[in-house]
Amino acid sequence: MIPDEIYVQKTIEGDAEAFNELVQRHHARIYGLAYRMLGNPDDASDAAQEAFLEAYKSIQSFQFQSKFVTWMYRVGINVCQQYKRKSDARNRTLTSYTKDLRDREGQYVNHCPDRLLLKTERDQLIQHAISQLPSKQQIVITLFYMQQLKYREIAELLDCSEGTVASRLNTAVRNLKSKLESLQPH
Amino acid sequence: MSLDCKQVIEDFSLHQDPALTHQEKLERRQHLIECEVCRNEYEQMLHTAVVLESLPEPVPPPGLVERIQTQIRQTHRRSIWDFLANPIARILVAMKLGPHPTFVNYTAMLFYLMLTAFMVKLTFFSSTETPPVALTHAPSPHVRLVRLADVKHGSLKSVRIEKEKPSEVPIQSTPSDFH
Ligand SMILES: [Zn+2]
Repeated sequence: MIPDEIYVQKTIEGDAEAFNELVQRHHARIYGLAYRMLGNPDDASDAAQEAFLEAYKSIQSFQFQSKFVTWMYRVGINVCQQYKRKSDARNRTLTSYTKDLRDREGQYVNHCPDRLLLKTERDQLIQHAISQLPSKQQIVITLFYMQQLKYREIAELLDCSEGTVASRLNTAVRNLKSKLESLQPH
Repeated sequence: MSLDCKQVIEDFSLHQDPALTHQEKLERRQHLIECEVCRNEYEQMLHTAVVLESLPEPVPPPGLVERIQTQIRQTHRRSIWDFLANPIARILVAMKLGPHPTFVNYTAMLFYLMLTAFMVKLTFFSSTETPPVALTHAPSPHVRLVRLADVKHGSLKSVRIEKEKPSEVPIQSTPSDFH
């Protein structure tokens, strides 16, 4: 398989289709990241689209020192964080989780059954708990557990030490555990 | 050596801190075996981690790739227009000289503005007024008459140059005058 960086080079030389090959390869990861960070498919789609557009526009700043995918994750994380700030400003917090759940289920069934991403209530619970974590913890959890990145890769991506990644993961899982306990219907 | 529980949970749990030495890891592991509180905590975290790993990967909605790719193509086409409209900025970018895009744009704008002003001036305001009197009615220069004596051709010795003659003497080109 042709390495991503070859396509990056072609993109820099003015070949937009080369970049579209990168979109084809990585859109699912970036969408997945956005979905875990933002918690709903519509925002995740928009954020993924914006992340790729942002990456395309600033492809000149890619230094060829890291892998393209690492750089792309970084762009994706930045875009998602901007989105979160915006949605925090919109103050879209719902009054109760059960209402949220019911609304979402209704929404999926009525309008977009093909977007039924969270099949079970448990998955929704977890996603909801993840959405409530601070963004730094969401990021490590998503990258480590869902995107299967290694400590070293996450550390490089977030520009911190592997120790920081490890301790942030600990905190994240511990927080998530207590959130799940409080959300879990008994 | 006994470790306190908080420390065990904080820096061991399931993400073994790469900074811990082998000995430290062993100590924490030993503590987990001995301490029920920590062991419970650890198991619950382990359970959470397993649940996280088992979460299904979100599937991108159909049409997302196409949507992104279409937007990339549009942006690309727009960038070609930008190139035609503002080659200076593009060249600077290509040369990685790195001035701020805004600066480049303003520079280019200024350049085009000056160019336009110049062209407008050339087209509509080209000067039609008569030149200053001093230029057109300047005293005519003194004319020196060179008279060739009626000698044989080519005999330069006998060329006589008349001294300054006043300009009112009409200059005639007929050779008969030269006698
Ligand atoms: Zn203990």
